[in-house]
Amino acid sequence: MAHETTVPTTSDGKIDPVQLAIINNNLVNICREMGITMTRTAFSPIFNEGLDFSCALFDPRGNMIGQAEFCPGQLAASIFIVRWTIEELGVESFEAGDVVLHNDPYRGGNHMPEHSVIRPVFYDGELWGFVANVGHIAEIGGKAVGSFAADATEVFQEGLRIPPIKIVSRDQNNLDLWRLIMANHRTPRNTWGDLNAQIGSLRVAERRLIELLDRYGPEFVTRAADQLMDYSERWVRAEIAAIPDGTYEFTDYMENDGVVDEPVKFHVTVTIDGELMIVDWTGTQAQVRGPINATYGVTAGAVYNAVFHLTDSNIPKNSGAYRSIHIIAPPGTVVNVVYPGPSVGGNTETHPKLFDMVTGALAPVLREKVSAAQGASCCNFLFGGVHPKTGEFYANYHLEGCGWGAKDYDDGNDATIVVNGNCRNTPVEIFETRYPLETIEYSLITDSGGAGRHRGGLGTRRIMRIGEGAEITASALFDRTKGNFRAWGLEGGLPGGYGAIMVRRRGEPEFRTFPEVYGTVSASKFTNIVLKEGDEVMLDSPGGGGFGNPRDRDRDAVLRDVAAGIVSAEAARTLYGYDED
Amino acid sequence: MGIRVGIDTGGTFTDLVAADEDSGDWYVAKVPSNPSHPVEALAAVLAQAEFAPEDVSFIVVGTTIGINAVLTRTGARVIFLTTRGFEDVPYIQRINRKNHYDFAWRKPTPFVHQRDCIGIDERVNAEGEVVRQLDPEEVRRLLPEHGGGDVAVAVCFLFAYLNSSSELAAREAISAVDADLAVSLSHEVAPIWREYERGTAAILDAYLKPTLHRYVAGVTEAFRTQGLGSTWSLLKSNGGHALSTEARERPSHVLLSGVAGGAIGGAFVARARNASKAIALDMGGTSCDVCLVVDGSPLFSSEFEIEFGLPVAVPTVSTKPIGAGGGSIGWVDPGGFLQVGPQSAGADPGPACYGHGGEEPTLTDANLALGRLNPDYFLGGRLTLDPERSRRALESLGETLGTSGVEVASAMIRIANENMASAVRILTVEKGVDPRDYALIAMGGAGPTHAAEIAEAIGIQRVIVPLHPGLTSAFGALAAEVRVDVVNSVNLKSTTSPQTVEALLDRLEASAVANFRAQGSPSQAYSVARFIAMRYEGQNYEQDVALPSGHVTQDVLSSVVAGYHDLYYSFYGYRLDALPVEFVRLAITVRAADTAALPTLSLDVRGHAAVKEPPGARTVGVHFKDGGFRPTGVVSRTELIGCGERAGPLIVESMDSTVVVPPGWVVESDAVGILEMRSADAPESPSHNMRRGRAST
Repeated sequence: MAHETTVPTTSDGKIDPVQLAIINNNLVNICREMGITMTRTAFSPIFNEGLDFSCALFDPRGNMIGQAEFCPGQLAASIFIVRWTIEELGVESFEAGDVVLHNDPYRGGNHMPEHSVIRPVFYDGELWGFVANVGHIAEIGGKAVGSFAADATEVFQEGLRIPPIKIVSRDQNNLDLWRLIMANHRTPRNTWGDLNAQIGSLRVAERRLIELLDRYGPEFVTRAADQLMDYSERWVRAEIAAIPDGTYEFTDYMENDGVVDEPVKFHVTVTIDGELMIVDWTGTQAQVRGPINATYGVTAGAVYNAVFHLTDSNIPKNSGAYRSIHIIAPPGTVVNVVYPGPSVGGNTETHPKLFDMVTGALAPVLREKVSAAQGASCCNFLFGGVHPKTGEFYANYHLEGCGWGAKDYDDGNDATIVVNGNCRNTPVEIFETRYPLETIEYSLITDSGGAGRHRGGLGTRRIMRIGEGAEITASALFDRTKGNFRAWGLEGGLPGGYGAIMVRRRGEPEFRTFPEVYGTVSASKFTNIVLKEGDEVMLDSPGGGGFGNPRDRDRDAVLRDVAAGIVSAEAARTLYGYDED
Repeated sequence: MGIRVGIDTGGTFTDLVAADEDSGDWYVAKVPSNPSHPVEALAAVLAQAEFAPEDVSFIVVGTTIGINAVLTRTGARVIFLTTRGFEDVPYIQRINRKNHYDFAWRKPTPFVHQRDCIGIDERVNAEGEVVRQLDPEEVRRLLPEHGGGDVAVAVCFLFAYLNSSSELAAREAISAVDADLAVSLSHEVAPIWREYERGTAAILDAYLKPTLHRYVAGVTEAFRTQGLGSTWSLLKSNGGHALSTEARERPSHVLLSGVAGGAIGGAFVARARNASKAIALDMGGTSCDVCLVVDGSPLFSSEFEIEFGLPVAVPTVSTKPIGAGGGSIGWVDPGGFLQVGPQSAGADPGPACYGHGGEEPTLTDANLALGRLNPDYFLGGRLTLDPERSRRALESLGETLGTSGVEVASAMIRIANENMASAVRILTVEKGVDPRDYALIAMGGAGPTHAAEIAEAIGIQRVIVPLHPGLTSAFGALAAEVRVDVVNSVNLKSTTSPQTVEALLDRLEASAVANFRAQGSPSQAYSVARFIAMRYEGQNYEQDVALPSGHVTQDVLSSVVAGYHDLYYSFYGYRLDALPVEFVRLAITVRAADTAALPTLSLDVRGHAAVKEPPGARTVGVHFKDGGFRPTGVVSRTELIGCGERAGPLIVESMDSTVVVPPGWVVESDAVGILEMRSADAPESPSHNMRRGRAST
């Protein structure tokens, strides 16, 4: 058929870079439109306020040819999910108007709450590609309200697992499947609304993609997509080549897995070999019983996220950008969980740790680009119950920002969301309107930023009291609450402050840990603790690590920090060597 | 009756447009802006205008004084009182990041120092009940000593949008200590939920108060010295004007005064040309702002951000910056792709062709190199451009890319146009509309040069060029009306009793009407529009649904909720009738019922907007993306009146901008000189028969 625009190309098929940039722009915009539609129509706050989703376009082989500014934690998983789906169902099994649903962590996913929907796009009767998105559905059943079972030992406790299935066939909902799914989630209305939002956005993307193909012709856009992937690959290769060749290692720990109170060891070896980067996680311990195991999608996503932080932010984020990065994650370890190991916390807590380790390994050769460790915990706090005023059941997924690591050139940001997501906090006024808890304090924690020539960012403290007539069932998945597991500093910078989740039961004088009060195994990870009217819970998020020797910090900066209450006079004296005279 | 004056203080120029309501004469004037002494530019532009001061009946000023104080961080020291335990909220903010892959990003710095954030022991709960009473003695005790310099107090207590008694008590306590201390209360500035956003609006309001008070006093004095009356008005961010003595008490509502004029001017042109759906595109030297205009009114929002993470949650004409201006610079990214902007050569050094030391090629250089601009008639001859410098700058960039300077120029324009087209598409998608149904209004010095090609990239087939694209903002200030917008967050369901809804609306309306009466409308007659923002329970984005006038009955509520379902369906293609609907916000707009009509528009103006007359008709070589340089006619704008349709390629010159009519487009002037360009294969526009550009408000 005739297309509106005829585009000259050279004899070797190379498309003029201006035209290529325009096609890229169009592909990215289609993903943005998908995202706007989801934000406007979704029901879970984690979705519509937290923006915990990603939208992308794929070619028929499962190469990601376009995405926009979405959840960095989903950088890799969306590719693996689409490839897996094509391979498992067979490329010939797709028909126009189908939508495949999938949340299986062993089939490319990050963790079970993230549900992917995938729709084939046909042009002139031929499969041209796929439009897909991944979104975090807040409640998917399992043993804990909010589906974050911090003491889960098997995937079956984490919610309803769905392999690739056609939830929509030729634009007809397969209602039996819908009913089965909704019967297994605690807040089915939200699930229904969120899935509809996801599927609706695929239709928008399909329409826009077909308009693009109408305008330029399907062969031309395919060729442009291929060349855009090559372009991203060239750019990433050039960036890697600029890093000195060598092998760089880093070891780090998580305080426990929520089931057994023992440290969990991670190890990475990053090899730079010309234009190639090999990130090898061999040396990381075997997968653990608790849910902090990472899927391969999480581990790869953390590596890509780190690389994108260290390279130019304008590189188009398509499959080509990943080609020169090789990842080795031995199956059956904490960085590549196998069936039926649990994994819900791998996506929130382990991703940022792995991210910090890759940048930490490269710190000796990229000191001007990296940062000290981030607070690196989502501080997942989940609760549900029946609202005493309305009699309705609610479930909420709450998270906190933490301090970010300092850099050679600047302090770390205070109270900022983990590197794998980009959620906003819930305003106190919205929180109290919806849930029967009263917030007593929401503040920055003095001295929680790791001291250094540049200071780590501060963590936050939130204290909430269970309201009149209310009772909540709460679960938590934190880290960095004890021992030597704080956010590390660089070049003499000190570690950031501890995270904490503590409770003060009604009438008691002090906050205590959950093991002290309720006998949980872990102080940072537990499930289904019942809190009653008048009980108070305190959430502290960890601070970021410092960079450089604190005694080298600019004296005016120390003075400013003390005046602002960021650093105490005591710490100014003992850590920064600040003499008030 | 007399002369009505609109003035716009832009980044580069201060413009004046005035109309004599008796004689029908139009006046214009233009002087360089003087950001460090804003009052002087106002005095200068009035001095230049060719009318007698004593004939002036009314002046509206659009000002950038607020936004300049914000950008240069030269506002007052703010003392921030808030509920104890929440002193750090301005610093904690919303915890999200501007960019995903960027260690270097810093959270925005609030307009209040941490040591000045003071907690007060008081509390209102989510039902609006006072749980802990504020003690005025505590406020008096904790108010810090303040020495010299500008100081103001902002107060934001939790749930003050439901119950304002604590904030009012705090103000009383502060006045008892220091009656002259300016105080901004969050429930008055922005009665919306979300404590960070409401608190930030109150802080900003206080931050700007002393500056705005000084500005109003200075301008009043300058006008008086020139023999003008002491009563004048400021354009507000919502596109309405208010007496300067009223407007200065709510500086956060005047922040976008300078931008609102463009949107109002664009809306005026849309009405004049019967474009019920229009996109006003205002492309100047450093930036390009767009605003949707529906049924003759710009869209409004409360989502403006000074920078990422620093919101100003007050009603504002919904303009969005979408990047490139004439000064945007072309460069090659490390992957080898040509990019345009966001860096701009600004006014100084400006594009290479200005000859003021700029060496990097800008869009203006690209337009010059492609023959689209006349080096001897840029901005009405105000500047002489040097094509040789443009050529050198473009060729040097071309060497990096292995191509010629002309190819680089053509590519820069295509990329900039595509970027702007994408941004417009996203903006319309966010509003749930299809941009292809819209007309594009080309404003600003650079707008008419790029508009047709931007329209083409979006799929828009109709472009309207106002009489004086470079003066649209000043014209907007002149065309503005008195307008008051009040919004209030609520937490209600569609099952709420009509009496409750009506009582809340009545209270809101009473305050809006009182405000309207204080703002010096030439007409005391007003109209009231009422809206309820609704969403399905659990969703996060709401839509305003208009309420009919009269009593709120059960039938009325049922019909507006049905209206919401319909609206949702029209946006998203499905509806959820079985779900409960939440009411999250009530809004009232009060506006003057009858706006004084402006005289018939005319290209024939009195004043110094142009330095010289445009040169006569001729043919030059102009480069277009398909087919390279081709002979292209150049005509002056006045020549098009009454001579029917002309086909592109064509260049139309006027005193403040250059219109490019690409091949495949036609252009036609109406009787007063407003131009319409149509894509040649587009159906004739519905307004085509409307030849008269009379003000038709």
